[in-house]
Order: sequence, then structure tokens, then C-alpha cells
Amino acid sequence: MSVVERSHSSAHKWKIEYSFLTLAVLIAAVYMYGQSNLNFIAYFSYATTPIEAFAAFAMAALLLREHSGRRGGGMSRVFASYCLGMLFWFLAECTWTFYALVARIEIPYPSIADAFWLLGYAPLLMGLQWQVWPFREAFAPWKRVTIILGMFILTGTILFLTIPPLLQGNQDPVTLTVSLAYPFLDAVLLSVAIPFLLLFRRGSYWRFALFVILGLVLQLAGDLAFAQSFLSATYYPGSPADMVFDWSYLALALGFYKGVKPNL
Amino acid sequence: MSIQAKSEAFDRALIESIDEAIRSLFSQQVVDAFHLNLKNKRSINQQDIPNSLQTLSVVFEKYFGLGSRTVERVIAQKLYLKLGIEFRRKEESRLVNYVESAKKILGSAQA
Repeated sequence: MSVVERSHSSAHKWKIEYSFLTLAVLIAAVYMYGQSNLNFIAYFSYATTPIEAFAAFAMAALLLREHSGRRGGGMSRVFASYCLGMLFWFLAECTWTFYALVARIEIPYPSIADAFWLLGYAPLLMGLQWQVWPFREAFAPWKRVTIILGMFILTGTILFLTIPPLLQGNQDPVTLTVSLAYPFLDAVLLSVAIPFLLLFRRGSYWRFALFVILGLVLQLAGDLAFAQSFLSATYYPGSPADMVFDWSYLALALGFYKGVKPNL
Repeated sequence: MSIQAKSEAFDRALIESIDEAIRSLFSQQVVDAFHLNLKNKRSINQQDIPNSLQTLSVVFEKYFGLGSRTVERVIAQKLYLKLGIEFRRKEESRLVNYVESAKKILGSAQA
């Protein structure tokens, strides 16, 4: 039975979700144990995160393959964007691990890895935008106003939490720019992802997209946790922020996998 | 052209419009899954679709949630284009309303 056929069976549909949930719980258990063995958890984090990022990229590539070419349609460019975004984030994780394990730089921040992460935002944003745009009429004017207001509050909160500690520290201009870029791009990504979530919360076709958005939201939560711990000099490899990134890649991989064969 | 032939041509245009709209908004995979589900879960074959438009709206709502209005509007736009009728978007109209309007317009044009 092919991957595509397996993803279509209803029994398999639930099995895969429980499998990912079990994996997420296992990862949390390892991280909990690892807080008493920081050397172990650092290596665990360096090794597993690129694998999970690759899983997310591979699933996005499979999704693109199934929905492009002759069988393509409006979603082709959406899935191509997701695939490119995942490729950048996978390269970012590999670069981070390379710096840590080969170049022996424990916390390579900022580095080329950040360039890949930041580059990844552009296709992901475009993908989300393209996915939501044909359905924009579903939002009544009052909903649009509510969403815009909500986004202002959210963006303000994110920037309020991140910018003051940044400006207080004596960061070099590159660190400052990269550190500002993350919350800004996170806020922009959320401003598209949340309307998307509201639009697609119902409708069986969109279930895959809910996991993708969960993955993005977790990524943003990881960014905020990383920024806070890095700026307060409490970050270490294998810290809880890294676990949030692991969960994020799992959710993204699951979402892309579920989208391969639409379950209506 | 006989009345039956005209009716068949209309139904064919409608079915094609449904497939094209879903393909343009999503992908061929979704078109296939849509027909498979209609057949297996609702016992609606492709040729029965023109007579099951009310059910179809319910199905679209279930599959695409808030996006179902867009799906129905795009289907209607494609249908009107095939029939050579000017499309006018109406906020509260569902697919069944657009199809009825198209039939009326065609009927009055031929009368």
C-alpha cells in the first residue's frame, strides 16, 4: 500500500494523529529527563531537530508532488511555497547543528542559520496569503475589523515583550536586527495565520491546514521563548524552547502528510 | 436542439463547472475525493449532481466550511461563462439559486 493510499484510510487517519501525539509526549519526557543531564539533552536536541525539520520538508515535498503538474490546481503554488519555506527551515536547522557540532559554537546566534530561518518566512507568508485570498469574501466587514484590531493587539504584545529587553542589552547591530526581525515577522505571519484559522476551523478539507497553522504558531512560541531566554542569558542547548520547535516540526509534518490525500 | 438535448447540455456544463471550480480553487485530488465521497457516502453519482444541488450545498458546507460560499460562487461564474450569460454576484445566493436564475434567463431568451 502506498503512502498516499494509506493516508486515505479512515482507521489510519486517527492512527497517524495518535502516533504524532505519542511522539510529542515522548519528546517532552526526554526533555524533562534531559534538564538534569544538560550534555545529553544538548546532543539530543542537535540531532533530533534537523531530522524533524527534514520530515516536515519531506512531507511538504510529497504534498507538492501530489498536487502539482497535471493534478495541480489553485493549491499548487500554495504547496510549492510551503515546500520552499520548509526547505529553508530545514537548512537552518542543519546549519545550526553544523555550527554546534562541527564548528563547536554552542549557541550560533546570530549566524547563517538565522538567514535561512528568516528567508523561510517569505514563502510561508506567501503560501498562507495565497491559500486564504480566494476565500476572502467569507469575512464580513465586521469580522475584518475585529481581525485587524486583534492583530494590532497581538503585534503590540509581541513587540512589547521582545523589544524593551533587546534595547536594554548591549547587543551588536546584527544581533539587534536579527532579534527584531523575528518578532516582527512572527507578528506578520500570525496576522495571516489567525484569520486563516478562523476561516478554516470548520470544513473537513481544512483539517490538514489546522495542523500546519498549529506548527507555525508553535514556531512563533518557540521564537519568543528563545528570544526571552537568550536575552536574559538563560538559554542553553536543549532548553524547553527547543522542545517547542520539535513539536512545531512534528505538527507541520503531520499537517502536510494529512494534506497529501484530501479526507473530505 | 430538442428540450432534452438542451437540458443535457446544461447539466453537462454544470458538472464541468463544478469540477473546474474545485480544481481551480484546490486540485484534481480534491475533485476526485469529492466525487468519491458523493458516491460512497451520499449515493450521488456524477450525472445525478444537477438534481441534487440542495444536498450539494450542504456537502460543500461540510467539506469547505466558510469557504463553501466561494466554491459555489466560482462554480456559478464558470457555468455562466459557459452559457454565455453575464454573471452578477448576489450576496445571499447559493448554487441552486444561481442555477435557477441561469435556467430562467436561458428560457426567456429562447421564448
